[in-house]
Amino acid sequence: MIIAERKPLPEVLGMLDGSNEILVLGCRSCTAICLAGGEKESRALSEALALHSELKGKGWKVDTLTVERACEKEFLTPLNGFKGTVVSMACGVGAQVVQDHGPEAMVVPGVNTSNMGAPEGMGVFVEKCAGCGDCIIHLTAGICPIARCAKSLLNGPCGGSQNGLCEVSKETPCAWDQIIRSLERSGRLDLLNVNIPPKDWRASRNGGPRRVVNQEALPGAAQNGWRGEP
Amino acid sequence: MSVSQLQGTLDAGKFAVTAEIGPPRSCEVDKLRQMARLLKGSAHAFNLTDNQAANVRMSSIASSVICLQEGLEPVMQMTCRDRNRIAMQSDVIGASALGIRNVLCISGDHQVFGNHPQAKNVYDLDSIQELMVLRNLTKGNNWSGETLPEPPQLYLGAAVNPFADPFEFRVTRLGKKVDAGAQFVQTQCVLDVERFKKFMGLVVEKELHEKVHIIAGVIPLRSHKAALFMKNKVAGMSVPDELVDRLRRSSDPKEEGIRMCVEMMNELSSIKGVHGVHITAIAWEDIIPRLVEEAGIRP
Amino acid sequence: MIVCYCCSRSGMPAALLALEEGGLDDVIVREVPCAGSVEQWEVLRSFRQGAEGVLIVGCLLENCAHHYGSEVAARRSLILERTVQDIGLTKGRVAMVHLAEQQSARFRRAVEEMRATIREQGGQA
Repeated sequence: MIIAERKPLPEVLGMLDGSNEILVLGCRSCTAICLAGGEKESRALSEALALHSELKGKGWKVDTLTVERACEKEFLTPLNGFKGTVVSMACGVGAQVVQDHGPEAMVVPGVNTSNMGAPEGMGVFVEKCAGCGDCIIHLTAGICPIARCAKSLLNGPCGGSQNGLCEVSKETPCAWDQIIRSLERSGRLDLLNVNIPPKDWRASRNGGPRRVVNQEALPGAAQNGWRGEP
Repeated sequence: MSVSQLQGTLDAGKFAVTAEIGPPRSCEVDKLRQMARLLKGSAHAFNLTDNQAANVRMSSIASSVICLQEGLEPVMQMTCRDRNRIAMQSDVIGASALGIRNVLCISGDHQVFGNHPQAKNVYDLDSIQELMVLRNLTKGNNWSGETLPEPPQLYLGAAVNPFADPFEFRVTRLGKKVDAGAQFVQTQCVLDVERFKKFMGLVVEKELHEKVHIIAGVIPLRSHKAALFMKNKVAGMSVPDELVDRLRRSSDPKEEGIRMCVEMMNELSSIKGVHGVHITAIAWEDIIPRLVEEAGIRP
Repeated sequence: MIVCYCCSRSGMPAALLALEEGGLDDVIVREVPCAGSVEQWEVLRSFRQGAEGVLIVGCLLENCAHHYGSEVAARRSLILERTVQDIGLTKGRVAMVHLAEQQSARFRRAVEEMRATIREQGGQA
């Protein structure tokens, strides 16, 4: 899922000069799970903003609403016609969909969206996938070296791997150490004898912002006609 | 047919000596020329590091050219951190055009270590893919398949670290680098000679020493503090306690350090599969001529 | 006015004992099943409703009836203290107290300390 963190309050306050009506928009999906922007966090921010407004005489009208998924505009109908400031507690995707959906509102980010990852334990979320568009984890024991190796190496660990840790941080396991141990356990070390050639990065963000089309789901002429659309 | 003095020396079965020069942080050309003149003749070839430890320095290609002008044979280093395949091929074609022949392909220290930790890194290729791409160039094609009317002439090298983990995989990784095109490798500084011997034993078992020339790294240590720094603060180093103690107990640690380095070079030269030594004497480069003299390996 | 969120197991008994002894007319007590269940928004809402300080009263760390609820509350109170300052109030307005059910004196002391802090600093930052 997408991992995000709440922005420091002073930073959010700095975005709200000149605002009158403020809506703190939470999301029940990813940011709720990583405890950054779900209903609880949105209500907390909403109370904080309202209190700040009262103390400093800002005259803000603050409200909060949490939707199922901010990234799908079907869930955003309650925001129709809203012209104030939306503090988005959804991930960067949701924030932008909200802005696209309501161009008259001003959307500001209440969270910093970080990565695609998973919970490792209570309150700890680690990056797992880099969205490279060309998955090869069948060659690496189900562990992604693009995301989990600091240098995205594809042919084994660099010389900085020590005691199973990455040279970058003692908190970062060396992905290649993990891959090798896993291949060893399953008797597939021979996979490492084949050199993986230079990667085609076109399917990744490097090829430009991506547009993925599912042919089956695209509405065709007959479907459009039936719905009365051009 | 050898393209460089280093290749010629190694292929003829002679013991090779290489040494490292750290390029200056700015356009201090005179300083670099002086260093080159001081070291000339002490080694068959000199590595010019590439923004080592991710600190900005004069480029390896520029420093290599300056060394060429001074009559030294350079080993240009190229990490994967700062350049994509386009820049790498371009720089290597340029390097060859300028007379540089030896190129060391390495992953490169992550930028968090350096003076620009905020930078975005590249890592379009890893060091093994870099070898593949560069070898392809020498054979007459760039990576997109276009033929090159005048391919670069390169002697390709890589780094190997017998002291990083996992130990057993380090030999496999050497094999991968050889498959990808490595013709010589330089190892991380050997301070733990027992572990190194174990590594070389596995290398010889796999007969890799017949496919690639292995040049063992050495470093003169001037004090027990320097040894401790290597032990605790440098990634991928193995430093035995006895070594630290020997320096600590000595009344003249500098001399002891020199003596230890000479002893190490002699011991390494007797290990099967070791075809040379690579001396890194950071901030103590002026000791290199004496080291090679006393070890009897001056070219 | 000081609002005290007190857990059923330890906070409430201690608070009720202290209230009986008197001298705590500026204290409002709210019962919660566990100190860890007090959400950030609730504490901030209390300030909007007129509280000058908020105490979160829970079990001793090694004795929480819900294992780690008291610990979570302690960490949350630190974040809230920071938030309240960022909003523009002075320091020391949110605090965590760990106690056992009979430790009414500890409860009283925490209230007195907070009262003193609020008085010293005089309101807004």
